[in-house]
Amino acid sequence: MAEIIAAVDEAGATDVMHDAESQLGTQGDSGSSSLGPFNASYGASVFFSGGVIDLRPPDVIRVQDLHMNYSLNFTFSFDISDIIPDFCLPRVCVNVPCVGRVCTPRICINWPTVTIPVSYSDFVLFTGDFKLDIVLSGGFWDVGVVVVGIPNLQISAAAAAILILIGLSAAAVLLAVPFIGPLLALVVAGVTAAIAIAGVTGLLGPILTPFVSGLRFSVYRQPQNFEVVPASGAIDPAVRVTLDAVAAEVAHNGTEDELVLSIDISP
Amino acid sequence: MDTLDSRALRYTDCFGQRFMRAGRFPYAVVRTGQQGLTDAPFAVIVDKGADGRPMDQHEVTVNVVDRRLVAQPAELRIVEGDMVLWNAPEGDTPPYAIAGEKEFFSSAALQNESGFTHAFGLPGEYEWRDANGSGLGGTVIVRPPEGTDTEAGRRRWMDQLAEGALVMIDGRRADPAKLEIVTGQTVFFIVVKAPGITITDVRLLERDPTRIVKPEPARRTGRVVKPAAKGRTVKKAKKAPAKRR
Repeated sequence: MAEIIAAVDEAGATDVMHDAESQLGTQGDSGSSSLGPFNASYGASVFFSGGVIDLRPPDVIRVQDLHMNYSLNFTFSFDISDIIPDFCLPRVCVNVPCVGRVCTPRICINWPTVTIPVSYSDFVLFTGDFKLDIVLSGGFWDVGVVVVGIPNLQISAAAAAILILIGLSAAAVLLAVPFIGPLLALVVAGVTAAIAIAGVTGLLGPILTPFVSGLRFSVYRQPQNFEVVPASGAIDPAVRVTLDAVAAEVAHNGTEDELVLSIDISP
Repeated sequence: MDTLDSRALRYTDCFGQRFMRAGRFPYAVVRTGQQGLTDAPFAVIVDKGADGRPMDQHEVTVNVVDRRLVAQPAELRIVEGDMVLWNAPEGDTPPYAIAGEKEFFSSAALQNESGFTHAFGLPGEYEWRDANGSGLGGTVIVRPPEGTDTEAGRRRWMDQLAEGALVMIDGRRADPAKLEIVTGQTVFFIVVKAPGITITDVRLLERDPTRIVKPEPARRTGRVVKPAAKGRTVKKAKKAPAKRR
């Protein structure tokens, strides 16, 4: 039988998780991806808050309504030629008095590559099942909980909002492109349609899920060897113990579920 | 920002020159700000024509070949009274000017029987002025076309684009001094007679007033004048005799 048994109930485990969220802080990532005719580079930062622990014997720790607060900075760049067809000014002629008819050649407009910056912040609520993960690493016992599966992030509302935002940003950027003004509605519709078809959800998912998949909260960390009674004199040295084994389980004790740590020690 | 400047032609611009006398008229295509650095490798050759013959228009394209601005065809044979129009079809062509050996023949100093066209790509009010200081000037108001969010509206707009607007410049007078067009329309500034003017957006003059400089005509040196190497001097090209129109 284990020498030390420690237990924490769901409320206590929730407090521990909130402390762990604070310790985890803000996580960041950046990268690039292609989305239909667009090249997208992004920077994302995420932090977690809230959530309630629901302990489920024998080994599942369910975190309900965890807030994943994220901030995304996208930059879409694309060649306008990919969205709308080539555009040429027709041959233009005027009759010049006493001279005759003068005409310009047909002039085709070279659409430039434009870059649309989009910034978006939101949060998603998700519920995930975690499992305990206990490791001895660098002389410390570390008890953590790890996301078992990739939760289904509800990002469709965010995707719709981002699509509208991209449309507005595209209109602002394209207004500065010569000759595009009268075709603006056409181009913006083309941009948003192309992104919608390529799927903002399809882009958001891969960006955000790595923050969640395999997410690990450390809930207990203890040196393997530590002092339990300090020295009180030359002939009374400090008493140290070594934690030989640490095990954890979710147990039901009759009235409530508890996260139970069982620890074997040796002097 | 969409600006217009006959000293810095871009792909939405054209420069036109009518040749009223027979002869050979060498010229250079020079990057804006590099006037006087090259010889005049291109030419318009004007043959005698019959009296009363209607004017023909000829087109010369300006392209970048091996990082140099090149006129194609390099030599163009026309008949007295014809007009030649220069345009760079590629959008990435750097701003340039046409600089003829004869003083009357320069996009940066428009004189008799010449012209400059500009297609206005953005709505706004464009005030232009002669950067060479004659006091000539005018305003072009560019309004966005209406109803282009529908196919019919876009067709109507395309029809409008085929209609050019005309500003006649004679002496020190531009007529009309103020005109209104829609986005994408082309304005022809036709110079009947002028003292060597430019059509320049005032915003460019406000930004860089030191560049209000009348460029020299291209010199017939037969070689490129390179900067002096360290320790030696470069002989100056012989000064061309005074030009007479």
